[in-house]
Amino acid sequence: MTGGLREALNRLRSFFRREPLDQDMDMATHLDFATEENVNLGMPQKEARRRALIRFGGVQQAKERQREARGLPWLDVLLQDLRYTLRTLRRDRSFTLIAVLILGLGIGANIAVFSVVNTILLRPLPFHDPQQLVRILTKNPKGGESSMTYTADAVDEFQKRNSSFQEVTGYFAFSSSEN
Amino acid sequence: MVELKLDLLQGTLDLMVLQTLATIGSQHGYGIARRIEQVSGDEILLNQGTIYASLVRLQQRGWIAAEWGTSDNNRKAKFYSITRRGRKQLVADTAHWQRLTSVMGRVLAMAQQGGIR
Repeated sequence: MTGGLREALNRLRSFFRREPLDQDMDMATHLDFATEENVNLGMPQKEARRRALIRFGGVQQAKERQREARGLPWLDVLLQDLRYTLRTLRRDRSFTLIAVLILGLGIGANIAVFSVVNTILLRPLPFHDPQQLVRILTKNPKGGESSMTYTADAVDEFQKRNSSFQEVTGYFAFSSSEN
Repeated sequence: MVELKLDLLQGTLDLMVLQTLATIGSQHGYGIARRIEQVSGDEILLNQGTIYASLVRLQQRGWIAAEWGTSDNNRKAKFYSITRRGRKQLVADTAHWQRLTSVMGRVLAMAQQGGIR
């Protein structure tokens, strides 16, 4: 089975290297040999060449077969299709625009809905009884709820005077420790 | 009319090329094709061009090596030769082929002896 692996690697290498098909020359030499042999048998040059070509059985087909045995024909075809697709899209701008818009809106809407459903329904807060959790804030903070901060002393004070909650705690909301 | 020539079974050409190179040593594509035709007594239908796909395949698998050289009549040609790995493969493939043909032979002989009514 190492033959198969080696073949795969060699095919990959041929695909990327794109070396010229020196088999082209090989086949030309083949036809020269065959023609020469036929001429030696007493045929005129033209007939000798014709017979040689018949025996060879289609130079283009042979090259095609040879190419298939050599690189990665399926990847070649895939890339061809991709290039064709891009060309077509470029030619028909309005179609492309509409298709992109529809796809974009569809995907965007899905993501928006899913992320809401995900946070609210699928992944609730990592505490038990999350519905009892509250955040202590002043009324209508200027920069939104997340901009509200308290000093450590204030948190201590809240904890000392707390009678309404099971417990009061604070968290450090910034990534640097300079505050 | 000439009798119809045998079509080559899938994979048999590779084996023929390997065997030919093992027998006659380094040879160019045309030489291999002619040799196979001669040995087969012109019984097989060989498009000589198909040899080249086979040669590429065998090269990719590392069973033969190729090298540019000059022929007897001073033409530049690619000369192919069997590698050590190729010889090992040839032994294995030959054994496989002989097993297959002997089984086919036995099964077909049985039918002729009246095993089937």
